[in-house]
Amino acid sequence: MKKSIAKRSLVAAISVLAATGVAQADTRSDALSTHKLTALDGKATTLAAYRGEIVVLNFWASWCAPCRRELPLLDQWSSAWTGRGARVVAISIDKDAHKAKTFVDEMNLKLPVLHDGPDGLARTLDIPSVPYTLLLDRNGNVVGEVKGSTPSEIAALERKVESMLAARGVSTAQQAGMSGGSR
Amino acid sequence: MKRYARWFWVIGVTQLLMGCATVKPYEKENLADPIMTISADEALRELKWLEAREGSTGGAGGAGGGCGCK
Repeated sequence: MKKSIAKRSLVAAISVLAATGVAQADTRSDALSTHKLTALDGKATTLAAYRGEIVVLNFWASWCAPCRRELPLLDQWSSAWTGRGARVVAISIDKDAHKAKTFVDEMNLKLPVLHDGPDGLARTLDIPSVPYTLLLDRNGNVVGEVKGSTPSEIAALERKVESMLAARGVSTAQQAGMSGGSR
Repeated sequence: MKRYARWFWVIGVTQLLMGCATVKPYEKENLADPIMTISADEALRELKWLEAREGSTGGAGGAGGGCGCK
């Protein structure tokens, strides 16, 4: 009897934890796709604009030293992935958008940079570090994250994006082969 | 007297704990100001204190309206 109660409690606890995890993931994806962001030229946008592409989303600030080291690398990735179905989007959490713009100009960054401040998505997601990087799949779901800028984790993130791109290439080729065979 | 002493400690410790706050990583812009680093130029640090205390921001030259809100 006691065992059965314990078993049921365990199952219930696991279910609640799993449900909470799913709800959290959904909330995160929802917040990411609907939150209004501002481009450095003042235009409003949302991350939903990047649906259909793999997005590496980087939260950074001009006052954050590791971000200064990391952003040029992310900029290189962004250039390399142009036209391949992936991109890097950098979100500045500086209080003042002007600081972000000055930094971007100084570093001559070409990747899309949006400004949101510290009380926007950063607070909604309660980001655990600066920089903080999320990997979103083509549907805007969070499929990976890097807290901080550990070189090994950043390299792993790049490999993951490359494998996602490669998988996409394979499935596209397969689809083309299948449709060609059926004709 | 002993009872009061106990309350004194409880209130004192509570007050101390109330002064603690967790600063989230995205709230650290002011803490990341170069003036907050240990190696910051001592003269600059003193100038900042002086300006804040005297409400004389900009008095030693540079930008500011003397409101102490640098």
